[in-house]
Amino acid sequence: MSKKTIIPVGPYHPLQEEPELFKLYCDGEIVKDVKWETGYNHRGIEKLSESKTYDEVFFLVERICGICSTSHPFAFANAVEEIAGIEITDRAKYIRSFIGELERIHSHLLWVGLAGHFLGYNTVFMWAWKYREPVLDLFEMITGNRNSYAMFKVGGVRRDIENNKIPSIQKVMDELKKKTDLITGAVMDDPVIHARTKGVGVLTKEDIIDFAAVGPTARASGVAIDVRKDDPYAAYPLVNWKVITAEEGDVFAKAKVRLLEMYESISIIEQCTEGLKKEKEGDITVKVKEIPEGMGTGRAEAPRGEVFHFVISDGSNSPVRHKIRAPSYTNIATFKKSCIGQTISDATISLAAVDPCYCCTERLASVYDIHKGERIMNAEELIKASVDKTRGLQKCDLS
Amino acid sequence: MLLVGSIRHADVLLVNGSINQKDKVRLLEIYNQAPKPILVVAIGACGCTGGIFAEGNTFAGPVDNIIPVDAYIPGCPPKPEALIAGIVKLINKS
Amino acid sequence: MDTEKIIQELKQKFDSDIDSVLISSNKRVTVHINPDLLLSMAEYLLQTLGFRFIIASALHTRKGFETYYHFSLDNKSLILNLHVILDKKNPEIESLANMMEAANWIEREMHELLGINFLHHPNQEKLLSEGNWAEGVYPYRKNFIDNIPEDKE
Repeated sequence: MSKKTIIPVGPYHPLQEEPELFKLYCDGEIVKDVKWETGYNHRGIEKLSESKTYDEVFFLVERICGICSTSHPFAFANAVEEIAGIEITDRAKYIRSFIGELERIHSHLLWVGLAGHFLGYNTVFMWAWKYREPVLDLFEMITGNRNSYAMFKVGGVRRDIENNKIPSIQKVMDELKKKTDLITGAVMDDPVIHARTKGVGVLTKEDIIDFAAVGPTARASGVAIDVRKDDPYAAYPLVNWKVITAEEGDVFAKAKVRLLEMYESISIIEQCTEGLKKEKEGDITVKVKEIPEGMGTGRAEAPRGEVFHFVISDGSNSPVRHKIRAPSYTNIATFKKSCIGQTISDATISLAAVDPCYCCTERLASVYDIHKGERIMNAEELIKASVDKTRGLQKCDLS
Repeated sequence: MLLVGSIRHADVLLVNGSINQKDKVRLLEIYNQAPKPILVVAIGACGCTGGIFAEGNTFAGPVDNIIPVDAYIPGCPPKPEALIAGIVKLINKS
Repeated sequence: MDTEKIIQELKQKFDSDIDSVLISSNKRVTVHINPDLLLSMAEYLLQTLGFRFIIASALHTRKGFETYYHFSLDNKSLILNLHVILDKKNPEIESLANMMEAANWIEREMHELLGINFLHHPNQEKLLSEGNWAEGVYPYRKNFIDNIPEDKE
């Protein structure tokens, strides 16, 4: 009987950005079992929520996750507005969907970069993160921040996207379409990537249903669930788009689904900006008197899947109970199925394929470290570069 | 600046995110393994003071309650410009 | 089938075991049941009606430990919550983890945050709390004072 070795991956491992301890029990090169230890990110957010007023909770839930920063406020807003029976204005709906889709793009680009990095394709990593920068700059122009946008409030949004910003937005989208073509071509046609990802980390339809997995992880195995279609909210019923699925359930399928989703997101954003042009500027919020007693369930489709918020109100200013379920909570558990039987070197890409967000799982908002792949510059050059960038953004000029 | 695989080769320790009771144990372990002198940077509002999570039930104090810190980079999240400015200050200081 | 019909089916099958049904809208329904009914109803929802398990939430109130199991019927936009109230002193209920993997982690979490005991759970170990808080402490429990003591001078 061959010896079983244990290889700990984590809690502070160079491959992972966030702390989580995985123990891969291996027999030679093959993974036989997986155990994991979580709790490094637990911050007690659900309890903190009970001590904040409804509008303060938005700032809290935004920081659950750096990359899916919008989806949590989105779902929470849906839940609270359900309790109070509030219908927001069309302009607010367009803005909410716009922000949500822009976030999906930057999150998928980030994932493509990480996946490239895990596979040893550092060029893909550099490209993906470079083409992500205009998206983050767009966020900074509209909301003032690259992550955690503070755009949501009960009854609408906090800031408008003025119509004079739309030409800059359109320019970024046009560039992005070309870059997405470039990255998609590079990833989907490369025979080595095919070899590394096809048939790796497979999750069957039955696995998905057993684990109740969601998002691109589920859609890549043929389970066509997407909250934007299944339980429409904000501007999604007002625009045309389709749900992307694949059948094979392996890492390649998951990559394909995410890349193709980016095109859909770009299309939704363009339709939202068209919609914004038709709505009255400034009409972004409705008056909210109070949140009555009741329960609300709000959902949103985050880049990783369905975010679910359950809020119980007793008519006071703060929630009585706020339950948060992030998509990675169910998706990460599928690691048990997708990694067993793989080699150790494939285990890491299988895990990365579900796009795990440990922050969301443990309800911890970590400051998502932005690895820029910096060149080494001296002190003056560094400071000048950052000042120049800020000047450029202040003029709203993204050329 | 290069990311290294092991604390034993590092000159700078970047600590971001809030530290809960579990992290505290690991952080102390890592700090003890690090060859001295090592510079420690607390990144983000959570690293500096605990930020919005300071009242949570598992919060184990801001980073400087656990290990000595040489530079603080505030922000939630800190902008790249802030990170660069902070690192530059650190380089100039030492 | 639509929401009306689903509720009718449930009532027909489980009849008097259902305490009450709250229909907030045609997309949101809450069914209050006796804890003993959980396994059979969950099985019916998942296997016969094609629901998907989202998550479970629990909270500590004066009535006891209220637990909601959230299910989604994706193609109908319907969320159905099963609501049970567990005993104040000794909260326990059958585990759903043997029926589906999806319930495994959340039951462990509810166990360590509130002290609810899930009977026949395959591995009711700690998920989050090792090293994070002391044994026997359940941070999401509340201290209800039933008799407010008089001020002592």
